[in-house]
Amino acid sequence: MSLNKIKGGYHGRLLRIDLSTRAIKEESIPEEYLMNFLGGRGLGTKYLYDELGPGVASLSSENKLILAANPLNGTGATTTCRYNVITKSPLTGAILSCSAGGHFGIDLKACGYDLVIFEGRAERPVYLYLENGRAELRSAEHLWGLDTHSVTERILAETDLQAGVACIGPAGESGVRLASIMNERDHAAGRGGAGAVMGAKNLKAVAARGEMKTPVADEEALAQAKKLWMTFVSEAPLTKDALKEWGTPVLVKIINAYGAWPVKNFQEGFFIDDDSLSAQTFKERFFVKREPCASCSIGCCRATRTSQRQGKGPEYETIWALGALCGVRDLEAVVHANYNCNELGVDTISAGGTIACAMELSEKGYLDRESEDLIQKDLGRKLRFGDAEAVVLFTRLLGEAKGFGRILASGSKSLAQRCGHPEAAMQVKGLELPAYDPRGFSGMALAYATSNRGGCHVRNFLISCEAIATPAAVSRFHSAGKPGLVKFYQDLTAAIDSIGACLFSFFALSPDHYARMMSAVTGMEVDGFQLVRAGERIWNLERLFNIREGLGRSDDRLPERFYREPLPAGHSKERTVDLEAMLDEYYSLRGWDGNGLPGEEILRQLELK
Amino acid sequence: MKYSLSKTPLVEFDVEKLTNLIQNFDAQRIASFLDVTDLKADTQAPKMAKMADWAKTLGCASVCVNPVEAADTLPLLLKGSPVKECYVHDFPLGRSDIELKARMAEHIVKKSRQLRGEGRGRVELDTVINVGRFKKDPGYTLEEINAVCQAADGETVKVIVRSSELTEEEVWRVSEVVAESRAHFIKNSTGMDAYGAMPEHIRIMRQVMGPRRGVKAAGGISDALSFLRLAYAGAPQPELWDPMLWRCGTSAPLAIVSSIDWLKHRSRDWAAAGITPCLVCPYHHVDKLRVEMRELSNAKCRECRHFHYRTHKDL
Repeated sequence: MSLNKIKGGYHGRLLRIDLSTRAIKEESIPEEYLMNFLGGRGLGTKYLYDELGPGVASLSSENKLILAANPLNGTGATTTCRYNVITKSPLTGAILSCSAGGHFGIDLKACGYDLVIFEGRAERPVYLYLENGRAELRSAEHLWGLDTHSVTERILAETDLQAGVACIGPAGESGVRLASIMNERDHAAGRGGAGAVMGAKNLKAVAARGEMKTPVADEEALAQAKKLWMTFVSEAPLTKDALKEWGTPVLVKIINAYGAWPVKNFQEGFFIDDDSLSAQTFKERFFVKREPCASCSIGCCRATRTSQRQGKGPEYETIWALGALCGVRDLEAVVHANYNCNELGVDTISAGGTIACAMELSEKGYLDRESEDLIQKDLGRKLRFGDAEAVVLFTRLLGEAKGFGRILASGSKSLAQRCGHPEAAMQVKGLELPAYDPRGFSGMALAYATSNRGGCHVRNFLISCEAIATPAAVSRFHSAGKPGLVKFYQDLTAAIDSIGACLFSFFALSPDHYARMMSAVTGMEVDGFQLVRAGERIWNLERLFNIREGLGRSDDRLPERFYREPLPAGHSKERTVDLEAMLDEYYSLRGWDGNGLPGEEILRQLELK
Repeated sequence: MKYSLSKTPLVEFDVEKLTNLIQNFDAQRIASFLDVTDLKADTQAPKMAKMADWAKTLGCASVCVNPVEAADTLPLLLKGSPVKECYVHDFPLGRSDIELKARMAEHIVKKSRQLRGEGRGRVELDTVINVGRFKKDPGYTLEEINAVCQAADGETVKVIVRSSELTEEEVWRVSEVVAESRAHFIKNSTGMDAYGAMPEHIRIMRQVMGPRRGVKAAGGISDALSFLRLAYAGAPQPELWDPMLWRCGTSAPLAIVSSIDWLKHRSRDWAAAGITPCLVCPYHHVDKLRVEMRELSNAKCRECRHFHYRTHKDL
């Protein structure tokens, strides 16, 4: 490692692969990049911002796809298996970064690289095999068309059974803008269509198998920090009990009880039969065993099965998107639809959001003729909320880009615009919203609106204090204080994503815990405030990317429904969103002007100018 | 003391004052006010060892457990550290007679001193009053508290009054009784009552107990902001930030010290974000109350200006 101030956490080199020419070369990563952008999401953003000019079509060969390992990968600290995918989203046109679990991140790191940058487009389908500092492009023609599970099995057989495999399914190959990249079969870099970018490059998969150790600056300090993390993660109620026992579906009843569990494309906020989709029902009927990500002591991930199929999940968001959001109460159908998405490589949240949008358009008679005809041909009847069979069918057709699935494949915004009713798409910046109604959670309203990758909850999991009192309970209705908390959560989340920890770790840990671990691993003395400051730098750079792509204040906006239509029932009844004052304060706190453009002063302070 | 019943309980917190509290408490200071607690029926030795370890590492005030069996172990686990042993006494109902209470207190103190061998000042007793007797005979309560204090031989005694079973007026009255007694602290709850620590009750207790006696909040305190909202009510001034004047019982000390670090970022925004008033209101938590207490609480609720927050409005 040719680094001076940094003593560990990084190999200090990246792999650049031009798929058009099959040229593979190694490059050193400047030390100041690592110090300023931490790794993973931050480092990938830095490279994408510097190297990708404005206006590049997301599915063109000019777009770049970056897979990024993180400084804590391979240290053995609990929950530090995450890797990131960074690219320009084909769904939103904005910057896209995704974080995924499993063990691929640790394998990628163990191959000796902090980043892999893919450029160009392969003439024929290929996959990349990384092994201990060696990189080889192999033909993937025999894998093209296979689902993610089959691809993984084949590649493991061809390479090493212990390898990590990140791949796309038929959805990514077909340019479905909701396509995800799946690793270890069922872990997803799910949102925003990264799978379609990979497919557009004719890149079917990346397999990684390595034994190179992550350098560590201070082994003794690392051992202490790991013990500290483990102590806190082992004792916090959410990480000790709730997630371990029930997985993420534990949230179903909690959020529904607030009357802010979106039902029927956000027309309602309370699902009358939440028992049918609850964590208890899920565990009773489909749970097989816990299958934790590598290096994770929480173990929220679940292996499941039905009488016909098996896989992992669904997670809370998926149960909601393919269940309540579509008015569906048949949990087995939701499980099958989830399997469809995982195997075909589709983002479950956006799939559910787009199908729910189609259901509303259909019920209101707004669907265009072509869509109606295709639905009639595929389904044999009109599309209605509550049609479980339709959800299973259209997740499959969406992943295969066939029939009405071909229209769904462009997402809800495109569908609603096509039908002349853009208000029916529940999205921000083109990305379908997740499972917390912003009318019931004022902080989440601002978080959705200002998220750099569009309607997303993990760019800012403020729901943890608005709904589950972690790290502390705050009012879910008050808007006071929320702009500052949204900013803080966004910055902290950016930092956590960039060091490689799972977001769920923050149910137990504090910013200082993360900083202490980073100090031990890298040898850079950082405190919690400096870590959050690095997150702020990353957030601002993502914002600059979006500004350069033409996004601005008008894109920091929720669907009109949330301003005009009060929730009809439940414990958020009659609530709407009042966003503008919060947005003004948020911009001001960020040092941005009234249009959401980062000002000279903040850019100078963050060394982005 | 002359008291006046409140129309609206303490459920809103001045942003500047709460921000000031956040800024004045760090993990170390907050830990010094914590009694690390586990009062479950099946608490075993490994858990006690873990609690002792947390308390010593974090610098907590005490480890609070049930004395049966624990009194054989805890003194040895804490020996050589400044962390005190805290034993609940006649727990959780407080229905034993005065003589028996005194003998139990004497036994606990004697045993602890023998095992630990570090003299006085290492033991605390959290004793439960007989709430039923208090309601008709406050003089009996004064007598039983003083008997326990006498038997405790100068060790710190905290008096658990089970405030969720008391009307607002009775919370005032029982606080007066404790203030009149030889006890060092008043404590709101066993942690097994209808609800835990509510700022409104802690406010009343501090008002009656004055600045030279202790108030301990217990029940449902699992994060730093909850701790600080209670400190707002029970220890708002710096002169009260002394473990002999202010204490919190918690089974979640790690969550509290972890969460104070979060509050250091954007402190004012955490304070400004407020909390849904019903969550910290004693009159909202009626599920486990006797019907007559429930009626009194509902009557309070109906008159409250925060009534629109209540989830079940059909009172």
